[in-house]
Amino acid sequence: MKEDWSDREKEIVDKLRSVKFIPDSAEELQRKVLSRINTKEKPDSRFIGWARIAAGVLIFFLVGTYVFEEGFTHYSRFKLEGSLLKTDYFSGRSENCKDVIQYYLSVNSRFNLFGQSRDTVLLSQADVAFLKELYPDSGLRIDEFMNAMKKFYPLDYARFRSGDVVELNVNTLKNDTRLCELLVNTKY
Amino acid sequence: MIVDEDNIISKCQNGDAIAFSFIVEEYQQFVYNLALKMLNDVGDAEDIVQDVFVKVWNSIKLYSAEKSKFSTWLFSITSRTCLDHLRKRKSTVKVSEEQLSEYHNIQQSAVDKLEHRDAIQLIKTLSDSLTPTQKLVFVLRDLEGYEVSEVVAVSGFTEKQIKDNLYLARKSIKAKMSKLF
Repeated sequence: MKEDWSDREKEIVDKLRSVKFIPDSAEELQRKVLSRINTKEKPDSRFIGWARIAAGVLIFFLVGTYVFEEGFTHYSRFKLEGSLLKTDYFSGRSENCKDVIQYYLSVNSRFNLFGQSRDTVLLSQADVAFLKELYPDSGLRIDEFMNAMKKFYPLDYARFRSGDVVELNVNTLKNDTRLCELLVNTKY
Repeated sequence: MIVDEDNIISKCQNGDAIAFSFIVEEYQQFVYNLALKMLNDVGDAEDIVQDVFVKVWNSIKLYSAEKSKFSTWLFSITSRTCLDHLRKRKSTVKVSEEQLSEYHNIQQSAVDKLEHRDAIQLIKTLSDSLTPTQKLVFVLRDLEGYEVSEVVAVSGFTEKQIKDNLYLARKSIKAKMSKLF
């Protein structure tokens, strides 16, 4: 395994070992090294580093907030619509009654006619006209609903007719059996 | 060695760039010498010197005098940097037979008066066919005169790896020398 040098080879290797290379311009090389170190150490560079981290954290929170808000809004909407359209709520009533109220509320839900608290329906003459135009086939149902409103909520109906926006409570609409019966008994 | 080197290193570890300039001044020649013997190119050797000292500055807080001498730690960084450089430089230009024949004329007197530039060329000619590991071991052991234990500390290779690589390196260089001289 041993691979020793002959005298001649040893002489050459020794000669090469004795050669110590020195940089042509040691000072220049030293200056370059220190320049690279100082550039890396500049406070501005550190500040930029911190600014990048801060910007990253800020963006993370902004995106996080946006995603949370979007998620929460969709969740709330899904929950509310689910409760509004839940058929069990109407158990014990006829299918027609269930259909009419459910249809009306779902239309409102779809077109964002809910109030800010989302347990009320905001209704104006413009909304009614808009719904009739959008769903011409259901115009009769909407008319019947307005008749029911006139009969059972005369004060609200009067305000509706005068051009005010009327705020109807969703739970009241769903639980008011008079309204339901009237709609069911109406022939359309 | 710098007087009170421990104190200077301690200052460097606290971010004192002026103290670090003493380290650069003291050791750059050793780093350059090793880099040039490894890479055989003045420009590359100068780049390695810069890279090594920047690495040293960035990691000097990790240095512990209890684990090793500063020079050993510095040369181990130099060795690794040179090895990385050699491994990246895959398109090594092999020394041709014509270039080899130029050295047939080197006589005893010429070797005695070997110029630095010739020495670089001679090392390059002799070691061009070595692998980066063989070259590192050959340079540290034979051209720098390190003990095997020192080569272990600087290179991070085992003693067996060093002996095996040194055997192959010497065999290759002897073959080159037999053609040259």
